[in-house]
Amino acid sequence: MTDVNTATAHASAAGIGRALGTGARRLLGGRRVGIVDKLAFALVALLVVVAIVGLVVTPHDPFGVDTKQALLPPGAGHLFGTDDVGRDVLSRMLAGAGRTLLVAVGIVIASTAIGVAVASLAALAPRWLDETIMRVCDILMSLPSLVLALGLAAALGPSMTSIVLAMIATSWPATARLMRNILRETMTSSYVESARILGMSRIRLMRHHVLPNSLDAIYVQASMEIAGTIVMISGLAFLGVGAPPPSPDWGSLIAAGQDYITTAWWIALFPGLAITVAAIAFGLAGDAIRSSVDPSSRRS
Amino acid sequence: MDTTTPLLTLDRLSVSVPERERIGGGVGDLTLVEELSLQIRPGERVALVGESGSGKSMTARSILRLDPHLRLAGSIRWKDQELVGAPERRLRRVRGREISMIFQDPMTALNPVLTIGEQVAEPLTVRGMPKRKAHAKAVEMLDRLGVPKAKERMRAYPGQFSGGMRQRVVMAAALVAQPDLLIADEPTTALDVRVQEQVLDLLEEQSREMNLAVLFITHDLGIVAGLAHRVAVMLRGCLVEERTVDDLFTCPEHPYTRGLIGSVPRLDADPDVRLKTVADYMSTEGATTHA
Amino acid sequence: MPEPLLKVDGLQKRFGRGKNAYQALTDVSFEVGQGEIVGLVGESGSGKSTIIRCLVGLEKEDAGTISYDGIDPVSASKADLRRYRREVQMVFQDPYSSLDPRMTVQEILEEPMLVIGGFSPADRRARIHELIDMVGLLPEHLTRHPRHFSGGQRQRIAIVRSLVVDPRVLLCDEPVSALDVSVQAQVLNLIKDMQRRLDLTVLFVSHDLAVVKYLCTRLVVLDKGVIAETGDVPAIYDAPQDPYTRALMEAVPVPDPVLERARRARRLEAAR
Repeated sequence: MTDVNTATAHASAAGIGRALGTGARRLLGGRRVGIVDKLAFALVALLVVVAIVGLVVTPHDPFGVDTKQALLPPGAGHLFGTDDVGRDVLSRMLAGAGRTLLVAVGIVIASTAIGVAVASLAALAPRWLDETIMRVCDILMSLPSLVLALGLAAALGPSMTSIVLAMIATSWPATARLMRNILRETMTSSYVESARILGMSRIRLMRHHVLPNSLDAIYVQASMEIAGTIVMISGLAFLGVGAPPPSPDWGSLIAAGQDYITTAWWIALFPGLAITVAAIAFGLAGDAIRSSVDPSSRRS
Repeated sequence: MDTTTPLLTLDRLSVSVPERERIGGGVGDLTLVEELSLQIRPGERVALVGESGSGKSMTARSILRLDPHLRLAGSIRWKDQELVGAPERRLRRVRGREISMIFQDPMTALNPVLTIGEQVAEPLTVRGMPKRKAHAKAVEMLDRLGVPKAKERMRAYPGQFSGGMRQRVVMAAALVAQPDLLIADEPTTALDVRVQEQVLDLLEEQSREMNLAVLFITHDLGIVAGLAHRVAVMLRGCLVEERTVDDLFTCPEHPYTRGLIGSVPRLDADPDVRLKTVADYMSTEGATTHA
Repeated sequence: MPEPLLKVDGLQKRFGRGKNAYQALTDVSFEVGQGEIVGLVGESGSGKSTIIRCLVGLEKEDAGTISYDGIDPVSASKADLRRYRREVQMVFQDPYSSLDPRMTVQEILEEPMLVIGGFSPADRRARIHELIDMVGLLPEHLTRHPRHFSGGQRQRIAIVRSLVVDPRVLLCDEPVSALDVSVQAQVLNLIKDMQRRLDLTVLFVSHDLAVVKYLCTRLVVLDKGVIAETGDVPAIYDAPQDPYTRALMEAVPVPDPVLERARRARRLEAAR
């Protein structure tokens, strides 16, 4: 019986591995997927599931204060221990995953959308407008997001919204600059010219030929940005720009644990590890997507 | 028949892409070159002709093992050593010094941030020749290849040269270490006809003066007529015909060879006579071809 | 010469500004008669492609006029411009970059008819099937993407795309120079056949005088943006007047070892 069970377990593990492989492979345009890439995609998938589930269900109440349970080290009851007011660290991390990862993904989607829209406008615009838009982007890119976020927090009060707005405001110009160059280059390819000759409108050209053929670059750019955004929003939260306590986002968890780092190391350590693992996983997944799209590693 | 010992002997050389390296998937290894045998003697000019995808470039690149992920079988004998399975260290001794290679695009073959002089002298300095001596040899080589004011142009950058001049510079860098064999992979395809003619003339001249063997890779049979001693024709990874240049052009045996010759537009031909294509010859002989 | 259909008069084009400025075309004028195949020949940088790009509006000429069947595309009415865009079509050099990789062959071939307008779905279907049959492609090719085709097949697809809207003039920008010699012959024969069957007027840009001799009836030789020589193909090939034309002609290799060796010997002798 046990044998059968282990066999099924093996089979299903292999099945999941294969499914992951084919999924990743489809995502990567038919390229063979290395073990590292597979692991990265598996981790990203796992993190996203955890982030969503964690918003609804956790082993303990992430906000339930119980001072009798305060500062318990990692053990059977509380896998990652408890914090200074007796809240379960694991539960708070799970609840905070969504507030960290999903927010990061949301920021990247929003800033990419704005960036691509601005880039399309610049690519279609006459030279002077194109130049103006790009110079504005340059100016915005030179604003440090940290300072902007601190300023916004001062104006709006510390909240997740301040972080999101600051991050979007500072990250879209880089996307816009990059995408504008990619779109301009795609516009010089002969298939776009051949449609232009027929008198196709510039907006239709953009929609039919230029944007679809620049999508790869958009995906790559976005996927590479998620890792940095996770680190950045955690950093801002750590500095106190983010949502006020008792928000369980990972940056705030580390901030809350820093006073106890010598006595109750687990409060800060586990959220710190989570940020590291998440950043590496998203980074590697982004890298895998990039190398699959990179023409030098793909022959037709 | 020439009886000198061959410089290079390919004996049933096969080149394939292992299954795990195949891009876009696919089952099993993908064979690019199949059991190809070819000999090149000192000073001999051999043309390897075929369409894109025929495996001609892969054969040439495999001699220097430029694509380490490819699997080689059979034998590549260079002088008295075996190159298939040879350690990288030994290949490095052969590359550039004994066998050098030039490529199709002279625009990307040169490093834009290094001077012409540094690049032409590099094959010598890399092997420890004193800078001054290497420099002098580089000037001499550029001069031989007809680069005007060679001494002054040593300090110039590739961006300041035209396509034809760059191909001369590339050739100078390839020949400065006095190799025994030069592999030229479509070196004139990106050039204008007049420049192409100059490059072909230079190749022939240098080959004669330096007793340099040349393996010339091209899709155009027309341009090798005056250059090669022997021509080898490749089709889908296999050698289909190998003859002296005169025999090949006067009585080509394989229908594919006849197709290649027939499809070259000629200045001395009647334009009303329809240009033959490979398909014309292959289909009449019952073979199939991919357009 | 037959009735001129396409006229280029005093075309000027300069690229870049200041020190890097580069005169691509200097006062270029020529005519192409109905049903002619005119070869536009020169080396890289001679401006031959720039002329075609001006003709289709991808570049804007600095001075000079273009006229096709009485239409000047610069000042034409909307209806005339539409007719111009329909009746003057272009085939690009590189069949690897001239087909949108994300579209199926069917979508690629339908696009010109959709953009120009006035073709019913039944018309579109009929024209595509008729033309792919003429160039030797199969109906099942229509659902595939360009990456599944060889260079020669792609160039056939590109030729069909230029012909679906029933043009009268075909502008070919080095359509065979990116192809293997063996495939080049097939595409040249195809262009020749289509020209006869559809009574096309062709302007054929090339750097290869042997190709032009095979295909063209008349020749315009360009040297650094200036016309060096024009004339009928047999006359120019028998006795080229301009030294540049002669030099280009002499550089064309002959697929004959004996002739080639003799030629080289003569060249080396002359150099000495």
